[in-house]
Amino acid sequence: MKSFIISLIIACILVSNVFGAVGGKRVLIIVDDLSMVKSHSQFFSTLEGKGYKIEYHSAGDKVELEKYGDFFYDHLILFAPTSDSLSITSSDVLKFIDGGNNVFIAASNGVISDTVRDIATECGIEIEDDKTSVFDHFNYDKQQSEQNLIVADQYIQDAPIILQGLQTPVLFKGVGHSIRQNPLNYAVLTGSSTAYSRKASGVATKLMGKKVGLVSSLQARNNARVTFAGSIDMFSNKFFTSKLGKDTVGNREFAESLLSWTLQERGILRSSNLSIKKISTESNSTVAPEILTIKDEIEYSITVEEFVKDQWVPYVGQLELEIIMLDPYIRTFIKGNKDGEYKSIIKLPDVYGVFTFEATIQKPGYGNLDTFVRQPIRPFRHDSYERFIPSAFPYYAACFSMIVGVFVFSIVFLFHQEPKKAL
Amino acid sequence: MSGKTASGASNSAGQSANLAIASMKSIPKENQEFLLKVLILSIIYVLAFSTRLFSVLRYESVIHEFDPYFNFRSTKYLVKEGFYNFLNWFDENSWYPLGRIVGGTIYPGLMATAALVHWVLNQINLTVDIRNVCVLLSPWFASNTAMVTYKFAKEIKDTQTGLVAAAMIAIVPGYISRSVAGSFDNEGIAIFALIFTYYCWIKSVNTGSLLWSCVCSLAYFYMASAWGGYVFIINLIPLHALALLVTGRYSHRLYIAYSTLFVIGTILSMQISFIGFQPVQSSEHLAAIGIFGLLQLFAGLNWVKSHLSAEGFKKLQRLTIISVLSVAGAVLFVGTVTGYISPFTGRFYSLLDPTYARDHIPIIASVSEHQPTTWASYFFDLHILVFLFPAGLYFCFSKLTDSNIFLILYGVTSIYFSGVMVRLMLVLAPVACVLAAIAVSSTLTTYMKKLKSPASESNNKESGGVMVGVLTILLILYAFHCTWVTSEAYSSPSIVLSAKQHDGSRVIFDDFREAYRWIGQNTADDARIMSWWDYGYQLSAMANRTVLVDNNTWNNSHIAQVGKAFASTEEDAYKIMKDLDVDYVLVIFGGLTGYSSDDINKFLWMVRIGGSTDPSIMEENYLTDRQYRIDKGASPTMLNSLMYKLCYYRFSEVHTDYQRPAGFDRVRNVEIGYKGFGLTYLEEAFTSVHWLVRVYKVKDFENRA
Repeated sequence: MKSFIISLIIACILVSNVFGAVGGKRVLIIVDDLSMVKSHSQFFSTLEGKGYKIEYHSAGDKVELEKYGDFFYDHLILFAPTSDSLSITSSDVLKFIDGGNNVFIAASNGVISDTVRDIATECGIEIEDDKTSVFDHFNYDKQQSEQNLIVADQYIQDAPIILQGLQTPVLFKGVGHSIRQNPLNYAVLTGSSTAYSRKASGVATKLMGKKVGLVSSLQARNNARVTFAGSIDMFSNKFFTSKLGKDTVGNREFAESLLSWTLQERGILRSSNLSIKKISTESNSTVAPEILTIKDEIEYSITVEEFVKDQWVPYVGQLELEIIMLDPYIRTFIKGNKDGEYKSIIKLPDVYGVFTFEATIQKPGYGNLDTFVRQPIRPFRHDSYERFIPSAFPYYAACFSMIVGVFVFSIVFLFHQEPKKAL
Repeated sequence: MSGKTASGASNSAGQSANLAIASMKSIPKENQEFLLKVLILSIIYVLAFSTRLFSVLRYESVIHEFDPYFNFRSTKYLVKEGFYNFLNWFDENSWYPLGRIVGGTIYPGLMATAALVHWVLNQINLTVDIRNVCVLLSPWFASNTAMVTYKFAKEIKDTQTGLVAAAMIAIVPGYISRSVAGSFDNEGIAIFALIFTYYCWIKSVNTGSLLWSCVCSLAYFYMASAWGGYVFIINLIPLHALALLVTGRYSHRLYIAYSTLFVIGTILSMQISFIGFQPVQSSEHLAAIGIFGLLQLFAGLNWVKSHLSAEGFKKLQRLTIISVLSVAGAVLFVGTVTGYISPFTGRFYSLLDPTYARDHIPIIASVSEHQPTTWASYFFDLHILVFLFPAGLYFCFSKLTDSNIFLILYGVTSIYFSGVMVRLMLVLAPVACVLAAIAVSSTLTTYMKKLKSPASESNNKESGGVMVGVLTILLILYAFHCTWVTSEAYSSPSIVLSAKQHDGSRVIFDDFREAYRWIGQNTADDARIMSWWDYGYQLSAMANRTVLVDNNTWNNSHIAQVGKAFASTEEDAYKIMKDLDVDYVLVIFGGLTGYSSDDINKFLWMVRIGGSTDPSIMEENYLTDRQYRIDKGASPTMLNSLMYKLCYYRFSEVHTDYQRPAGFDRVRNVEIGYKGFGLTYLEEAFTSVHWLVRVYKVKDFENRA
């Protein structure tokens, strides 16, 4: 009975871990003041519809993200750009990220707190000075006089998974930023080539053109996602319902897509069933046939799944397989079938050593998939080689003729009698 | 009647008793001699074994040195997996990620011998742990060597010489250095094989027996399976044959002995997969082939000579010599140009030219046992043999025989080689013993006679007494010296260190085993550990973890890569380590205890070896004014190198000496130059009690960068 309970507990823990690993449902929302809950209610309500458990706190409240290594939340939405009196520090948030949780941050063109700045910097995002905002004298909302209420449509091109093919422009009013050159960072939305950043009155900073980041993301190595938006207003009810001439703006769709991506609702990959099977071999040895030897033909297969709408479905795409020992000896691309199985028949190199079979999918917007296994590839055993080879026949002939020769010679030597010389 | 018979019987009994007494008086000399001989030899046998046990008695029955740990590990593998699996053993735990084909890169004689001894003991129900077999194998073989040396010296001169030689070799420090208990190394059994081969060779040259030359080839095969020094045999024996030929001592005995040995010995030695086709391809074996041809030619010419006139023979002789020389030259040239005959290897060059290795191959020069020998170490390792050696040579020259010539050649060549490399002192030691034994026994024979001469010649008697007395004192001194050296110098293991405290008590530093155990218990099974190659064998044998480089220095560039990592800055080293999938880094640091052969003192070799493949690493960057410093005056490259940081990380928090500032290095006797630094890409995982071994974990890539 006791063991049953224990195993039940372990099973529960395992199950909770499995579900907790991707896209948990506990969200902590921290706002500058609680009035924001109302002004951004449409944005937050998208979460409630999907079954998230939301806790609202104002920046002044005492909240804990973690205790004894356990996180109380899976996601953090930090809509408190100015308040510095957060009970959670930037290092708490970074620990939260390194623990595999997601963070969504928005700033504004007012004063930006050091906490937010620190978090952004640590995530490779350099926010402009306080009270600067992004201007664009060509692409702004022409109904308004403010030229820092810009119309942005420079979406990230090569990662359709993030915004799911959104094309409609969005309204943006806020601070710009730059991101570092790093495969982990994405510029999700940038200013057009005429955008630049400056204080309300003053000269332009060095940040201009498409370098002006409006919304950027970081996908960390542990698949935690951090999104930083320079404008908190773009998620407000007011912006959601704004119109550009006759067309509605894309803010609502943009915000929904971005948030659901950030909270890991899609684009997470996992692999399973990795197997390396020996198909044929040039070795003649019968000892330990399962061990890989040089020049073997193997079948490499792996299954890749993708997390979509709370369940794992087969991922159909392309996978890069490298077989590495110091240098990659084989680099190949494998296409997946509809069940998400990736199979390839490979002839191993004529080199022995400990090889790393590394399968990677690096597709922008998707989580990192880096599955590797180390396998020694052995040289032939002494009995792996062909026993009799044609080119050695002269040697065999020499050997046997020698044996016969010695035999004949000994007979002759033993039984030959020299004829006695006549005296 | 009956009384008569009885008296007759008693008479006959009395007669036979008389006869017995008479025979006791007449035979006893031989019997006594035999008994004495057996007694002396058995004492020598026991002595040779027991004098090598200091290390086991003082510490414990473990393998003591760096290199033998691999031999031990592979012997265990051999015992567990069997011979064929051992031959095919692909060791994926060393030389990551290249791996190493063990069967094809070692001389298996040592492991096979140990496994055989273990097997035999177990067959007769003496269950002995393989570790103890390995620990005690070298001393046992040393005893056997003493016996073989007795036969060898007896064959060359006489029984007395044999006994003296056996007694001397039993305790000669030059040989003990490689054969104490716990030093489970190739040389331990190789010297036995070497002397046995030479004994068989002398025997077969002296008798011209086919049997003895076959035994000689088998002994040669055993030697070839045990140690790379077999090349010495296959060059010395042809040299002997040539010398006999030139001095006009050619005989059919020589012809039979050499031809048999060369053919069978070569074929046998080619069965060792590490040797393979070297006997017919490498230039180191060229002399043997040449002398073989020369002998055939000489024998053939001799035969033809008996059938031809003097005039015709001269013509034929000239023609033959010219054609043979030109063909040999052409073959040599073509072979070398096409690469079929391998070029002389670096180790061979360094034999001929001691400065070659130092200038050209840092990896050879970096090994301390490859350094040229100092005069002091001759005396240290041989003691009175140094002086008796020339005397023995003199006695050999005074009565030249075939075997004496061999001894002279052996003595002269080995004394040259021992001057080139310290480790070859080992080859010199046996011949020094034999030559010294000849000197001692010849002198003693001469002067003992004088001692026994009639009292009238008192002059003779006095000189005899003085001479015998001096020799006795010398031999006693020799015995004391040998025991002292064995106890003090050659029985301190390098796996456990000890130091004497002020009050004379011993303090033991067992840091190595502590650290290896920690690694074995606390790291992942497949963790890869980077260290300098000296510690590779120990790490893989004791911690059972994968290492990048080890003492089998077969791949220069891989070692250079590790050297480069240690010589680079932390950031550059991190890239290299990540490329090599390194999980942990291990360094040996003696600054706290004063252990001087630590990694900081070896560091310049790492720089040199690293620089041998990557010219951007330059030795002068690590020196200030051509001086190797780690204090404030050290160069910035030095202070920022990974090795410096790993050794001195947090060292500035420690006070090593009273009256000295914190961070005072007790080996270099300076205060370190760069204090209070942190590590970015590595973190300290383990530091042993006396800081001898420090282990660092290589961090993962940063999550967000």
